[in-house]
Amino acid sequence: MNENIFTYRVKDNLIHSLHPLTTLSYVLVITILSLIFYHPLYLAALLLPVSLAIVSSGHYKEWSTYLKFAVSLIIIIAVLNMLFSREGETILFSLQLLPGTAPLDLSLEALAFAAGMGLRLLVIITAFCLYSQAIDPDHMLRAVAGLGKGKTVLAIILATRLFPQFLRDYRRIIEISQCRGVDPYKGNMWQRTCRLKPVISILFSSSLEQALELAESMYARGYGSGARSQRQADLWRPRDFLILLALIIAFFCGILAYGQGWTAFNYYPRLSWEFSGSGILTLMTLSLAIPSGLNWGCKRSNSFLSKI
Amino acid sequence: MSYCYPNEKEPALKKINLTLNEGEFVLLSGASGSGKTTLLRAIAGLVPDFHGGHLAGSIYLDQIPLTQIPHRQRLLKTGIVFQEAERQLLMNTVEAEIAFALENLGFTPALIKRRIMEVAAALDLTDCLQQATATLSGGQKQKVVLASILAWEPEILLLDEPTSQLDPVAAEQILNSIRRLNEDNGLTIILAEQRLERCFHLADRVLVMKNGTIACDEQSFDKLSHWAMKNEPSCLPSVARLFAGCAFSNIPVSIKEGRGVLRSLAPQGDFSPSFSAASTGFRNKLDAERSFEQPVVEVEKIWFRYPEGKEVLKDISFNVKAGEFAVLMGPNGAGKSTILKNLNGLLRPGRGKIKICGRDSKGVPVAEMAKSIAYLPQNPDDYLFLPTVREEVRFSLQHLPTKDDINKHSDQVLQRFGLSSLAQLNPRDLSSGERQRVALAAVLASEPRVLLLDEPTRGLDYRHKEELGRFLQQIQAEGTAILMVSHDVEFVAEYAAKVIFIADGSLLCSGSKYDMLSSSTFYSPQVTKVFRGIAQGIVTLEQAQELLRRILHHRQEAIPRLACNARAGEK
Repeated sequence: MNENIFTYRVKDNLIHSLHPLTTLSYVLVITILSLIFYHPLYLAALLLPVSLAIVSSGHYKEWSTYLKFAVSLIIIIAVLNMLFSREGETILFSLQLLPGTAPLDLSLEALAFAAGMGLRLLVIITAFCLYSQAIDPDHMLRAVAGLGKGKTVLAIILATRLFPQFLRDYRRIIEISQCRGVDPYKGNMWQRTCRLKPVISILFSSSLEQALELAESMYARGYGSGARSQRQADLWRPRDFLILLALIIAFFCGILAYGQGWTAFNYYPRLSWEFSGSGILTLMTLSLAIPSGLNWGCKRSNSFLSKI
Repeated sequence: MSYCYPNEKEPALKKINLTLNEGEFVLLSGASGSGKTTLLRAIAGLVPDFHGGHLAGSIYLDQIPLTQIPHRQRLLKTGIVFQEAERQLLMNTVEAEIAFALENLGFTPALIKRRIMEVAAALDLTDCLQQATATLSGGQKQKVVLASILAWEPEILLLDEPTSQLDPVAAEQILNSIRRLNEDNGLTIILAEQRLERCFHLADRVLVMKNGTIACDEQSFDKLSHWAMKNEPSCLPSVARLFAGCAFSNIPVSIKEGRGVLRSLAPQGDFSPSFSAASTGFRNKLDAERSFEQPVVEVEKIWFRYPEGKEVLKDISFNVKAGEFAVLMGPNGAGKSTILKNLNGLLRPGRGKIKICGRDSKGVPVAEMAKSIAYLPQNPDDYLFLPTVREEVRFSLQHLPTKDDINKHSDQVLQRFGLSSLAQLNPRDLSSGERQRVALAAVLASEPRVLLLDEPTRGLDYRHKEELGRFLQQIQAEGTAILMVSHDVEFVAEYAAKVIFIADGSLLCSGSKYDMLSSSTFYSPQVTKVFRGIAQGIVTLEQAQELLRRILHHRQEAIPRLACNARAGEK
């Protein structure tokens, strides 16, 4: 896994120039709505604008790495759900695993439910990708420290900063074990897991050492010595207010659709292809697509960028 | 003052009595584990405040007990920079990193902006304020850490080996910045350092620590040099050891002073050709013996590019013969470590060919390459993952046919590396020098034909370096080819044979250390600099001392002869 997918890089576009709380609000709205929606069309309506935001902010490459990870997870979910779910009535095929035992029925509903949950997972992973790629952790700390939540955010920032470091260390230690004649990719899964044991042991001990050194450095630089100040607050621009307004609209559309029961979907015992609230769905999708739309406009016109 | 870390029986500092004056530049010297870092932590208030443990006695800052000064007030007076810059950086950009401490200390926004501007200009960081810290070079990272401390203008600056990871040029820049702060701003500096040749001449006062005590506290370098020659020669840089070893009463501590003494001994033109060190008699006998050996490492026109797109190696070709000790030198980020990884198969060149022991390495798995080519990384801790020293060595011997063979051979290896008494201990509980030795024993147990070392002297004191150097020469004599990456010019000058200079991914030049180091400005040892323009090809301390003795002998003979000539002239 490439550690770059967890590392923020400065890019010159509208999405990167947003106030960190605007981008965070966008990520939160997408995540909250994805957790209350069950209908695949509503989930797809969340995935589309957040994907557009990622692509238009220049993070397609990093997102594709997230996608590979998400798809492999979805496949695992689908296989497990089909094997263990017994609620579906439309049997696609039966498997006779052991002679003398009851056949294992694999249903269409179990497959659809796994696909729906996979879609939800995809939305959440994509939203996290936007969070890690488009929000500068330094700005985030500054913005939230002003709200009096500095310690919590600092812990999140440290975790997001240390994760790439963790991956770098893992890769380095694996390389060194190869240099000692250990091939970590040889043999069956059990043998490979056994070979990973010492690697994990070094990884954890060196991570603890690093964490202690960083904590000492922070302490020596006055962290926790009293009230913090802020060198400069991030600027709120018209683009932030436009997007926040769009987010409020999108959120209310989502809540309204949820309240009306339009976002529910009956996977079991039989799939029911009901769909309502197309107007609300369109309004929500368009509102969530405002950041990518503005970004597209700003790429074409500098005067538009200076106005917002 | 005495201090003991939590869960430790032996105190790290024992009965320290010390007064440091305002504006002093104090150099803290001593072997690894002698208590230098702990003393700096104690002055900064990090022990026992952060680390816990028990502190007996008192530390006073401006005559006020340190324990009575609140954390923030104490910080405003003292700032500490630790060894590894990488592990101290927290924020994403340089500007945010410098501002972090100022925000923590509650400075006003206007003052924060002004301090960032000033400190960035002073340390030449203005152009990279918006740059991500992850993309900076090692030297720049260390400067950012230094800037983040200097920004709040502490009165006392404590530095714990700030140049240990830097190439000579970057280290020189950092030390020059520190010296300027001391001279221009009157900042009190306490610098703990292992590479004394870099900073000995900057100090007003030298403290030598030994087993948690201050063994020597001297402001007179002559007295210090004489004390050191009797008790701890390793705490002197080579220029001082050169003159102290030839019984000079006034010991020069800088290159300039050393050259002055040499010039006074024999004015220009007074040296006969017999003083030239280029004669074979001065050279390492091993070098001459190995000149007919077959190369075991052959690198032919290799190019390498990382997946992110950066071209790191460009058309590199060289070879290393059996029993040859070669060193890759050059600035941070030049591609030296990448070369080592291409050699052992961790990375594969895009173009070009690598042959190890005559076999093309293309397609050969790393684990299989490991049988003939051993690699010791920068941090030996990464190498040690088993619960005892014995098991680490046994792990490398698993290819042997029987258990008896493994036991017998591992005992031999432990004995050879002086590790028999530590065999049952956990390697991670040992000192840095001992851990380095265990990692080397594990690497060399399988008797590889080639040994690759990445910065093996980093963080080692002079005694451990000497031990390592002698050991490497021993295995070199047994026929193992050694290729090492190093910034430690003095170590390379003493123990290596061949130097390969790499810069910006290209090979600049390569050859014998006598040719390479004596013709370099920054990558040359102190003795070469002292004799530059006086005698050519002087690289090792032994050579320099031999030559200096000959100069002294020649002078003693010449004085009566000149006196006779003068008397004859008068008559």
